[in-house]
This record gives sequence, C-alpha cells and structure tokens, in this order.
Amino acid sequence: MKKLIRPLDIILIAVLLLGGIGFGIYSKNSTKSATAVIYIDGEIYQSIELTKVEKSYELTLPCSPEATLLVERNRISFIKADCNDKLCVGTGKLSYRGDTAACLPAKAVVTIENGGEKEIDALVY
Amino acid sequence: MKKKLLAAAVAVCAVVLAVVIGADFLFSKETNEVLLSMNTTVSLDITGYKPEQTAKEIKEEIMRLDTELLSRTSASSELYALNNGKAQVSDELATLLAELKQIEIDSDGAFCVALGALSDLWGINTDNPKVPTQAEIDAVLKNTKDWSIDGNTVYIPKGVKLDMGAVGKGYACDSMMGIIYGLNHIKTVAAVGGSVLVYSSEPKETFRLGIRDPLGQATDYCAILETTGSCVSTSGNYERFFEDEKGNRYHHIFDPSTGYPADSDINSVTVITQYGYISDALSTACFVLGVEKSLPLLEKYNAEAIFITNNNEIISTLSDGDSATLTVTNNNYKLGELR
Repeated sequence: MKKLIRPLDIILIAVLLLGGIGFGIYSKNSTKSATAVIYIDGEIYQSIELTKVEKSYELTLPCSPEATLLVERNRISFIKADCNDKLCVGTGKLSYRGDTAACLPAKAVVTIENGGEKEIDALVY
Repeated sequence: MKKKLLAAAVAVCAVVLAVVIGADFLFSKETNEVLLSMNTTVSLDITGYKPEQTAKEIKEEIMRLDTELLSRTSASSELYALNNGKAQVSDELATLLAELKQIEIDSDGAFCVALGALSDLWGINTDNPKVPTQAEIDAVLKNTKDWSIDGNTVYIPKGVKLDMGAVGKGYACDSMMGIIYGLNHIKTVAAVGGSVLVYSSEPKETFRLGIRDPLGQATDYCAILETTGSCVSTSGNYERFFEDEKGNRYHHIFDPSTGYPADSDINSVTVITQYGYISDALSTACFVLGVEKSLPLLEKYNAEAIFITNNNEIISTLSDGDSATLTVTNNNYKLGELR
C-alpha cells in the first residue's frame, strides 16, 4: 500500500501555506500610491494616480454647476465652483487616504484611495 | 501505519492552523466609499470580511432615512407628510420624535426640532439669505414649543415645520450601528457630514478623531480626541453662514428663544455619547447654551463634551478615568479649566 502522505508532502504543504500567508500579509500592508477618484452623480468619472502627476493642471468637470479641480503631484483640490456655498473649495487640498471633498449641487465627489495614512481616522466638524 | 497516521494528523493540524492564522489577513478587507445623501457627504471606511456588502447595506439605509423618513423637502418622506397635514407616523419616527421632545424639555428649549419655518425665513442655505424683521421672527417662533406627540399621533400647530437638520446625521449613525453591531472582526469609521461613528468589534480599540479648528480651513483640526467606539458630533459657527452688506456674519444654528443665530461663549462644541441622535441634538443644545449651562444636560445624558471658546480655550469634561483622551495639537489654543 502506498503512503497517503509522505514527509516531503508535509514540507511542501507547509511551504505553500506559509508562502500564501506571507503574500497575504505583504499585499495588505504594501502601500499603493495615492489615487484621486472623481465621482459624478455616483459614477466614477476619472481616477488619477497622484504620485505620477508630473505637472499641475486644471480639470474642469462636466457637471452642473461647473466645478474645476487643480491636480498636483500628490494632492488635488477644488479651486472653482459655480455654486453658492463653495464648501468644496473651502475643503482645501486632499492628499491622504480617505480625504474627501464634494460639491453637493453638482453631485461631484473627489476622494483619495490608497496612499499614506494621516494622523487621524476622521474629522468631526 | 502509525507513522502515516501521524504524518496525516500533522498535515491536517498545519492546514487548520494556517487557515485560522491566515483568515484574518487573507479575508479581512477594507473598503472606502462615499455617498451624497442627507444634504451632506457620507464617507464609510469599513474593515471586515465582506466590507463592500456592509457598505452597500449602510448606503441603502441612509438613502431610505433621507428620502422616506427625515427629509423636509422630499415629497416621499414621512416628515414631509407630517409637515403637510398628516398626523399619524410610523413607530420609527414616533420613537425618535418622542426622544427629541424629551431633549427639548431637558435642555429648556435650547434644542428644538420645530424650527423649520425659522430656518426658511433666514434662508441661510439658499441663494437669498436675509436677516428677517423682528415681526417675522416673532410670528414663526410663536408656537414652536407647542408641537406634541402621543403614541403615533403628532400634533403640529399651524405654521410650524419640523426640521431634522440638527439630528438626522446623528440618527443615521445609530442606524448604521444597527447594521454593524454584532458583526465579527469589523472596524468602521463612518462620517455623515461632521457626525462620526467609530466602532470596532474589539471594544478596546481606539480611534483618533480630529476636532475641526473653528478658525482654520475646513480640513484643519486643533485637537485630537482618542476614543473607543462611540458617536461624536460637533456644532460650530463656521460651517454654514452668510454675511450681510455690513459684514455681520450669521451662522445656521439658531437660538430658539431669540430666533437669531446662537451667540454664546463658544465657537464650537463636540459631544461624545453612545447614541448618534443624542450627540447630534446635544451638540446643538450645548452650542446654544454655552459652557456652564450645558453641564447639567451633559450629565443627564451621560455625555462628554469638548468646548472651544471664543477666547481660544479648549474646555473638556473628560476626566482622567475616562476611556477617551484629548490632545491639543494647535499652539493657538490652550486647555482651559471647567469652572
């Protein structure tokens, strides 16, 4: 009768499993570069990898009222909006994971995915 | 034969062990999602086994709260029907309204959910905000205290409109809690506008919340609150306001006794409790009351608060034994003492 499992098989299994777990830990902890995801009316309009921005530029969104973003290396911000409150412009520059600015009347949202953690989990205001 | 069995047993143990250890790393994922609802930005950061599914449930729930329950402008909401003559409400809205009436009583009227007509009069969030005349203010404030609730029947005097602006975001935090409470291996940071719910299935896990600098930009904070799972809401005079031609600034939190923007000794107050609707309603009440008069109310609801005064002092009710701690991070502010 053949052996069901040989000692070498155990080593193989152990190596595979450890490798798998190691990969899992690695892929969870590796920091992907900061990406600005722009939503208009709930749909993704554009994703911009901010670490790869060579030169700053303005991006006018096809939403109503119109809103304009300034895309810079490692950060992004609303700089113009044709609405009244300008809360989106007041939000300032976004660069850390989870940073979010929204123009409510235009249903435009910019949020940072991946990238570095900031000092706080959330802002209360 | 014995050896074989032993080898098989070792292999099985190794697999089981690896799966147990690996499960948390391999299957626990994080999702970041954003939703525009309740006239604000809702952001969800959830870590768990199926965070997208949890986030989806939460988003559906928040949209339901907005369009079917609390919105004053959506014709499909219960509150809209109530403001337009209907008297019977669901158990859910009846329970909430009864609690809010109690907070109104306990705060001596500093919190009032019946200021809809007053905020329409000022129009602070509209294209044409204006300072109303005293006669106009007197007219809309006349019956605001007289709304009442008995079981599922609500009485609203003529001309009075209920408005959930000061409590809806906090209540949304409670509804979210209903979805995530009891899930295993979950960690959530959820912000409905400036009202935040933090929760972890590890009760000792702490979160760091930045408290907005009332004099700074919208992303600036001047202190960090470190706390275990709780609901945190802030009311401040910096968020929604307009300036008249003389440069006077009028913000959106009204003193129900005067009909004017509340003018106490503070620029903001942050309230920490286990229930979002309480932290939201109390932050509004405390903003109207100022530091000293807020203390009995906070005590009654077992809530903690952090006041930022208009002398740039940060005054906290937290004491050494509390699970939450506060660190001032901006040198323009100094910690003040409770008197």
